[in-house]
Amino acid sequence: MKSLSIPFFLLAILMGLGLVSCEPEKPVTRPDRNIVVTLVNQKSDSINVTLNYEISGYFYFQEFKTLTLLPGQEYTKKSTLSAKGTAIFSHKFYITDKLGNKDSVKRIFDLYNGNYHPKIEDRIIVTD
Amino acid sequence: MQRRQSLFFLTLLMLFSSCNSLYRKTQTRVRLSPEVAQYLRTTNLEVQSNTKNNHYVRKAQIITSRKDSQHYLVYNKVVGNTVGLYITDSFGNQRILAIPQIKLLAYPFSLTTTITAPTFYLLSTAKTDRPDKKAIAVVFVYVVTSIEAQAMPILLAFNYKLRHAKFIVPDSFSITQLDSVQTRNAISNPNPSALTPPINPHPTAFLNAHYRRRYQYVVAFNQEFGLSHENRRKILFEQTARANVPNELNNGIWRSAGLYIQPNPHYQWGYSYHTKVDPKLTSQYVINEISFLRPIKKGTLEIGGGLGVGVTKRIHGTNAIDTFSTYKNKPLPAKEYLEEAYTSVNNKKYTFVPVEAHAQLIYPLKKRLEIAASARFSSVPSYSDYIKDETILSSQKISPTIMVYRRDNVVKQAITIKSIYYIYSFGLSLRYKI
Repeated sequence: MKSLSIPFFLLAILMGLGLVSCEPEKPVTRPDRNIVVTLVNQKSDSINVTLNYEISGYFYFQEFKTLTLLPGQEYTKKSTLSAKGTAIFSHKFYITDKLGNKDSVKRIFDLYNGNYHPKIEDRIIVTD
Repeated sequence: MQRRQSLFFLTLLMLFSSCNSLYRKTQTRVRLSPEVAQYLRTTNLEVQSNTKNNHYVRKAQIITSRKDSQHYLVYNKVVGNTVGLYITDSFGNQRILAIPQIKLLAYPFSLTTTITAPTFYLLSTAKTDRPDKKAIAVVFVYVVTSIEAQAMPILLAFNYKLRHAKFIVPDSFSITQLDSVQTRNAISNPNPSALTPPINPHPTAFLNAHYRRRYQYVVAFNQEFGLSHENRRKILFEQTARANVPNELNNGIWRSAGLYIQPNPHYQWGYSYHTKVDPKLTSQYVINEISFLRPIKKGTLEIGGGLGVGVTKRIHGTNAIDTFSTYKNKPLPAKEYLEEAYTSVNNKKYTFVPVEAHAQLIYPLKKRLEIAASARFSSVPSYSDYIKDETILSSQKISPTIMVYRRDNVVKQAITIKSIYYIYSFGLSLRYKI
């Protein structure tokens, strides 16, 4: 019987080594919330864009950005807020085309506790 | 869960009420010819055996079987490869006859070979908030199993009943010649252990010329094509998926290698390792098999099955996406859709308890080499992990030249899909007898 005990012992060692590390993981959650706003120029000509970006929550932050988008180009503004954070993100785009026509679009994201959205993505398409 | 419980109780039943040595018959017997039986009925019969420390004496008697009307010499089992039958007649004359015995080696039912694998499986897949406690439980089972594996020979050595129950007279041994049992005038009382064992006139592959048992060891290599059928599927951790998320275990080649011990022509047990040849996933398991062999015209029919433990890991998963017009059982507003996207998460390992049954037709090719056509059924799970994104798609026209498309990701979570697959496989096997 001693000869039989050796394979059982080896099997027990193999099972022990193999199985102790095989723990199914729990579902993962991503605590951050991401806001992505993309402006796409699908006009046949370039456009001038001025962005007024504001964050208001526990603190206030404002940023102005001016840029020119060629036909087919796009500009993306990414923002991140922790799951427990509270803030309002505001993106206001002032668009002027080659002919001098002006237009504007405003996207506001009001993030507060209890309304957990991992990612909100707005894609603004400007056409002729 | 019910299936797991039944499996657990089945293994307990096997452990405590099967053909374990503890539950073997207490008597063994020697076939006699009618004239020998008639002569021995008039004598006093004793079977004696010597071990290093003890001398055992068993009373023997002659019985006639009602089943086949055969006469047998019957005595309580006693330890020893050769025991002495002491025949004493009414005049005090004595004759001593050597009786060969063989040692039975049953399938070793123990914690190690039965409930350890399912217990490991239940522990490793149990949901708990205290993984440290779970790890301690797993290590505890592992330690207990290891101790048992080492202690088994010691337990057997100290178990009086077990020591004797393992020895029987081989069926092929019989006493047919009257002159071999007739008493002589000279009284001699040699030590039973000094008796010369009788010669087996018909040695076989399992019983040699001195009535000593031989075991055949078989190494087998197998390649089969398996047809997979998804029997049932569930999503773990009480999560849901509305989309038809893939969790495939494709039809394909399975390979296996096994080492088997064959103590007699009708029975074998051993271990076999099985793996699926698939670049998308690894599924491999070790099975503890028991098989019964039945000779047919030119070869042997083998029928068997077993339980084991295995590991599976998906290497390349398939992403999936679908859209719906409702969310949380409520219809979405016009021009809004719910997108369910499943991104595969690879290389996560899962353990499982495979169940297997097979039938083989074995044909000898050469003296030691055999070929077998095999049909196998096995139950194997498949796991897939995904990150599920539920996104509400909407659009809004701001002005004649500006359009906004929104993707609002409302849920992001990991989900695990488990499917039980029944594999029906057919193939060829090469067996080599060592």
